[in-house]
Amino acid sequence: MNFFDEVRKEKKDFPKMNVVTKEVRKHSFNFYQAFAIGVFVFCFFLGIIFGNLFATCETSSYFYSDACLVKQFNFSLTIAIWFISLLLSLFIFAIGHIIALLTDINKKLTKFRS
Amino acid sequence: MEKVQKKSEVWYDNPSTIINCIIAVIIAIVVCSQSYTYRGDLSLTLFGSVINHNSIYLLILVYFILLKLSVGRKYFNYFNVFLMFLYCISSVTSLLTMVQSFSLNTLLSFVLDFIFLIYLIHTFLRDTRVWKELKLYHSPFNEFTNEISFYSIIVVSIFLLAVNLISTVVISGVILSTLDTVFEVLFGRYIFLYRSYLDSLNIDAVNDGNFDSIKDEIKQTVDETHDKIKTTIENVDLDDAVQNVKDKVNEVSQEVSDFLTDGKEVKEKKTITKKKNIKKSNDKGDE
Repeated sequence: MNFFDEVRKEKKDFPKMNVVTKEVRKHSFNFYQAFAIGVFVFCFFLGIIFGNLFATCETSSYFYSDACLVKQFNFSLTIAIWFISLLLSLFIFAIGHIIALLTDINKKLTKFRS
Repeated sequence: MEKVQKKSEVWYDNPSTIINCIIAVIIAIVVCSQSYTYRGDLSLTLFGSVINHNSIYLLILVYFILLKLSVGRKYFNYFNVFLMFLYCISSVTSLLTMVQSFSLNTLLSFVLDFIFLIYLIHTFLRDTRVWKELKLYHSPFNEFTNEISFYSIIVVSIFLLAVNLISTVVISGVILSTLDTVFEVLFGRYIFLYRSYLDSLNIDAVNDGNFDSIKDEIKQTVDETHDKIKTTIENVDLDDAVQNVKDKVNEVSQEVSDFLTDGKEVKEKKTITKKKNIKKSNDKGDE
């Protein structure tokens, strides 16, 4: 059997766009969670800017001679910044999530008492 | 017949062989570039630049290894999006590299990455729901046929190889540039084969979802009728029906027996009256 036949048999299609948007709209983010998303978006672009600012020497041109002939976008630096920002934003997002859970519990408790 | 077909299929028309070749070439590229690095210099800058060179290759290697597993096949569309994301980053970085130091080399690298990105989007999204929902069949890049896209990749990568070979003075540069070109041609072939496969299934660029809507309609009607049949079967109480039939049969048998008994009585009455009449006539005759 052709490889693509096997893939076509087993593969899953994407969910419908309106289903995804509905699912996303269901969630309401508190300040910390919104801040975490904002930090990640900011750092995403910051990574690209830094990768361009601190350009490296292209590997092959480094092999050819001691002088750098071609300056290349610093992809490793960009990925490093993205990874760190992902960890940071996840940490902030997790704190926001805990706070959201605690406020929910508090609301339920006050309702229960009243 | 199958054996003849298998024999006639050349290796570059077989997706599994192409995937194996891509994996082998990527491993060769990574191993070669790393070994050249350690032979020359161990500084962090050079190591970083080797990561720069190899990171995309390593991520593509992960993609192809995953395709060998059932997880990769199941989430094929999702991994393709990952691949598109990689090539999107690669195109952006090539553009920025071109801005950093404009040369024929950087220009060709950018063109190649951009063609790959367009080719990937217009091939791997074609058989998905996103193609219809985002109306990608209106994209002007659909004008490029499979052959044009594939041969343009080959031409640009060969030009790039020529430029690299002219500028290189050491053997390591020659080997790495050649392996890069081999990878690009093989990767282009992989996309070409997938698009040919879609063409063979008549999933063309004008796949505006009409066929799918008919399919959905058929499925819906089949489901509805199935549900109807199921509900009617569930609603029918067989015991009641059997009881009804039994009652009716009993009623009919009762009626028949009544009728028979009535018939007998009538007959008996008739015979009695007949006998009486005969008796009377006999008596009259005697008198």
